[in-house]
Amino acid sequence: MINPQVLQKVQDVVGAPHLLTSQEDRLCYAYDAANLLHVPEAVAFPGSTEEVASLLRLANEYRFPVVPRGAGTGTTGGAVAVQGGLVVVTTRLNRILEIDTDNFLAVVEPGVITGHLKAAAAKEGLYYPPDPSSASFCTIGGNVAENAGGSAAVKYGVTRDYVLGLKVVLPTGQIIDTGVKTAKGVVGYDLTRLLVGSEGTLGIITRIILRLVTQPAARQTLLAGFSDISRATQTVGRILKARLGPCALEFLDRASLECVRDLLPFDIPPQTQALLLLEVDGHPHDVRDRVESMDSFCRGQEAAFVLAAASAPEAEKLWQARKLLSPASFKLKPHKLSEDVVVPISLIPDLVASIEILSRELDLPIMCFGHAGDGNIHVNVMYDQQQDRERQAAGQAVEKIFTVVRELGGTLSGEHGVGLTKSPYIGMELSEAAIALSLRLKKAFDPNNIMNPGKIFSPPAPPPSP
Amino acid sequence: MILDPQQVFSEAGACIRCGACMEVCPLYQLTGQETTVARGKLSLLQALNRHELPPSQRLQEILEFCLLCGACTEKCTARVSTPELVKSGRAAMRQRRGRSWSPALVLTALSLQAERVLPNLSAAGPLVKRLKSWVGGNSGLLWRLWPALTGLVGRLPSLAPRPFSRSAPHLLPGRGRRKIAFFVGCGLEALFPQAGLAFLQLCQRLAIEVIIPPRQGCCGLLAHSAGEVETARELARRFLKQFETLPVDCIVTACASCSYHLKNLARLFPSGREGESAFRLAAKIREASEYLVETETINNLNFLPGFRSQSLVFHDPCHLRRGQRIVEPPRRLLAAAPGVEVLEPESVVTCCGQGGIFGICHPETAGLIGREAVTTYCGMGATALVTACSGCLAQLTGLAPPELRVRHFLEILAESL
Repeated sequence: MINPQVLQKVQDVVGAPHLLTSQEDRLCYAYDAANLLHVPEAVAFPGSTEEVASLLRLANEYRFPVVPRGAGTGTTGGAVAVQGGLVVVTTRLNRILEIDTDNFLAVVEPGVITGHLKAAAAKEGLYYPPDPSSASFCTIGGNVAENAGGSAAVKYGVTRDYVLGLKVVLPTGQIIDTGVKTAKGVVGYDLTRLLVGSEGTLGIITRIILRLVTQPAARQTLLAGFSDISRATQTVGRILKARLGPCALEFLDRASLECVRDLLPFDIPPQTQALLLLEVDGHPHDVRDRVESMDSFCRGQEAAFVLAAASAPEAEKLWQARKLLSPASFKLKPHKLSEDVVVPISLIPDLVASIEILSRELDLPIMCFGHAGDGNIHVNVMYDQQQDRERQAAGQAVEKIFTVVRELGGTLSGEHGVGLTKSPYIGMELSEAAIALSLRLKKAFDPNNIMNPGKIFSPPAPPPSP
Repeated sequence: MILDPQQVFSEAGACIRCGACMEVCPLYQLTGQETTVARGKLSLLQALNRHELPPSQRLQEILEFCLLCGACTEKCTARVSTPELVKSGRAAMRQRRGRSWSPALVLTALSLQAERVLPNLSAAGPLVKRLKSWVGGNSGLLWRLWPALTGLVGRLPSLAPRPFSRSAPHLLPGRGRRKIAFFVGCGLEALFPQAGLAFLQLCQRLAIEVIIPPRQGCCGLLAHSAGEVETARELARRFLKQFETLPVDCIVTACASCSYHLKNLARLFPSGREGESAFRLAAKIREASEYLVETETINNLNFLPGFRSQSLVFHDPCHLRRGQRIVEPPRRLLAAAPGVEVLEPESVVTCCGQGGIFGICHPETAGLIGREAVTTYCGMGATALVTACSGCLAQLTGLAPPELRVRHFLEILAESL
């Protein structure tokens, strides 16, 4: 509980217009894209690193939870105030401070919309590759805190691979700078890497130094359709093995295809069981050559058709359909448990085949789609919460999927993070000793457990109902 | 209008809170606050329906802070029609809180008298002009005392010297099979009669018979947007009574907001005879560009060869582009006029900021959004800014600099005859 005197101190820090306390306002910060509801006690919009530091000092002194929030588009409940307290929103810290064309760097505040950063870099002929589906409305701070990925990861890697340094306010109110502004740097422990993906449990990021690369001169998008799903999943690994170097390699199964069929710019033959969405970028000549090789390679793998986007808007339409897939999945059933597991690329066919069997066993639609090129498959268990049978079956499905993934040597989450929804399962991947060490680290950063408490590490409990 | 709370709850519940609406909501771009965006409003409406929230003053403010532009619905994969749900929410608030004074309420009350007031309003033109200069924009004393009132008066567009109904016949004879009725609407009646007259000129050239029933009223969109459902129903009944029995193929209107509302009148009557006739009549409603393109009559216009070239930019009214999915027809018509080049901005301007009653309740914010739109259009080197809705015309006329004339697209077409 934040008592009124403390709340007054919070208001003194950020100013009255930047503190929301009414029930109506707080309800609008009770959720993120995981669609769980926990109403915070207040919502603050700090305007500087110093204000963030003052807020955390207050929280540490008066022991109230602080939940950092960007745009609230995370899918595991990371920005939800599960233990109440103060939600700290970064939307006012939204300046792109620098695009350094000499050193290929960007310095940004955490509230910058990822898409705005990409556009600002593109204006200078530079490229910030990570591309989560929500890039046009999520914040870069949230991306760093969750270590977001996206479709470009197969060639370019994930957010972590672009973060050189951070300015972070620790839960005790101290401000630290981690990392470097240079291409290399090995002084001390790599705190930057520890903080990237720490889901707001170790501090609040207030400034980010990002590495940029050269904007590729050309890109081309291809869509390949397969009448046999296992041919499609096998082709993923073979394309990579053939060194065809796609910058995106996405897989859509039959159910996913049906959800976005009307958004696609092409007519897809009815017997199509799976799609691969491929993209190549680079020098125009090189792109042309590789598109040709990729086309004939897919046909050699028994693709029923291979279509190339005729124009940039058509390619944009294909990507738009892919990005809308997650929200469009609700056409199948009103609720879903969404997992973003990763397995070694060569084992994707095994994963998809196991999930097909599981879907039949449990008599529930389970969609598989996603960034197959890096082994990251979004497995969406679709169900209706009103139906007892479906709700129970969905709960079983998640544990079974995770078991399969672990047997295949994979990980429970590639890019969404643990948050609230996956925290009951982390013991399936992390050893007791690793969890204990993590908790000691957490304690070293946050002795009073004020930063985003209840996330990642929570006592074993039955899976929360979504 | 969905009045059944259960239905509102289930429609709002289709929101999965993915947050995609944040990308397109003009008010979210301005404020960065969840209360302004569809995801937040839908959460509040659900809570209101479950009686977890009282119908508080703050909730009313939040629900009134919406342009009803529909950009969120266009972006939403679940296609949640947030603007309609916000209107339902405003109506529910009126029912549970009662009325409180607001400029919107005054206009709503006036809209019931539109058919009597508007034709006589031009006499008040000079008075309005004096009132405007006396109140004196944003810097005056009155502004500080009562910004809503001065905002409203300051933004009143100039009244036309002669209202539409005093200039137009009740019947324009035709020479063929085509027979239509023309619904004028408040904006064209009092502020932009030249657009209505331009339409009649086009019809005359095309030999289309046009019935213009006398003493037409307001379509009711304003009342509906303000949550005054009973007023909106009364206006709808009058419209049905006046137009239902006319022996015409179509009822055409040159205002995108009127045509949007009239096409959806059945929402006001969840059941009963009125709902059925509203539904039947909806099939006959056409927006002017929609009608001209659909009937392919435009090919018979025989425009004069162009003696001057002009480059125009077309501003898409929310109620046209998203409300009725009419995008190409006005552009096709304009492009058919000789010497006209239609320019397109780099990205579509979402909304002019007028937004039903929004411009009246939140003049400052509406001005910010409108000025940004005008700045975009000014940077394109167009000679005129053209649109198809009296709300947009009023807003853009008030904000555009003298070198960018704001016109109804029908005026451009009629000039080329």
